[in-house]
Amino acid sequence: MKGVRVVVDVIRDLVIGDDWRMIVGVAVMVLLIAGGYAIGLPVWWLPPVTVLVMLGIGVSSTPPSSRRRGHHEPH
Amino acid sequence: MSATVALVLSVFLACIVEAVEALTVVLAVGVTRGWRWSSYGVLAGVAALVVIVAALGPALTVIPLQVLRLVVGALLLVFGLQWLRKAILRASGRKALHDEAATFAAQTEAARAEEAPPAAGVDAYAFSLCFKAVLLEGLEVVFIVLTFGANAGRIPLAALGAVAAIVVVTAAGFLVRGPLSRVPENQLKFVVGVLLASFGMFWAGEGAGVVWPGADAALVALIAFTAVTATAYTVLLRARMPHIEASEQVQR
Repeated sequence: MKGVRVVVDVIRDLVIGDDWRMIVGVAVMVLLIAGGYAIGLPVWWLPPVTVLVMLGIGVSSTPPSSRRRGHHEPH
Repeated sequence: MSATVALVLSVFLACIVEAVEALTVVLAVGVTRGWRWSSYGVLAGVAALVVIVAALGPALTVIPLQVLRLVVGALLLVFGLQWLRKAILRASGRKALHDEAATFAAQTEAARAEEAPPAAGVDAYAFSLCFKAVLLEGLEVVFIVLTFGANAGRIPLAALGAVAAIVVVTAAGFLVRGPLSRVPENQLKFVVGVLLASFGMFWAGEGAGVVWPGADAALVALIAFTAVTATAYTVLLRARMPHIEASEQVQR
């Protein structure tokens, strides 16, 4: 069980890191692109806008969460 | 910049950063506890990483390219945003810079404080610490190698970039005989973050249905856009009163 927990922790650190809002922003971007594509709208501008918005959010405030401490920090 | 050059450069630079961090721990443990079990720990960590690449690499190549690009591109974009966010916060003075010398001193102190094993015994402390350092830092590199390599259909080329970085850092470590504190880690993370986020946008977009204006040439524009955006945020944050957040300090 300890080994599984370590693997889960590593994956969570790699993917979510210390700001879960990034993965939420990217998931919303993918949904919007898929929706726009389905109804025939040009959606190429969505990824750059996502980077602009998510980086702005990420550097201007800390995520509203209580991150666990004492484990490996992703770089 | 061609996609091939960007691929190798991204993997090489990301691997430099992670290898420097792993080297700091291995050096601290090796110097204080001896090299025998430290080396075994390093070799075991490398072996575990090779097994992961060998197992997951071929599996990724059988996934349909559209799906692979969507999933892997999205993950790369998340990964790139995380790296860029930290690099911007550090470059603007809002988060303390990563200090390899301080890490080396702390690890050395901790290794000395641990009880020494019998002369012919197993040094589990040295082995496990070096194993974990190599495995944990290496997993990020493996992720980048596999995602970049699988998407471009060039896993061996991506792996070559990673191996080159490990060789360079290891050689430098032996020459310096100390932590590589002069490596500009934050600048490297900034560049890697830009590349990861740009490739992530490009591939995730394609996977989800985006038709990029200019086709592959759009990647160059995305890299330029991301670099300018990240630089602008750094300048903006620097212009405001700099401070290092207490909560970020605790997390280090």
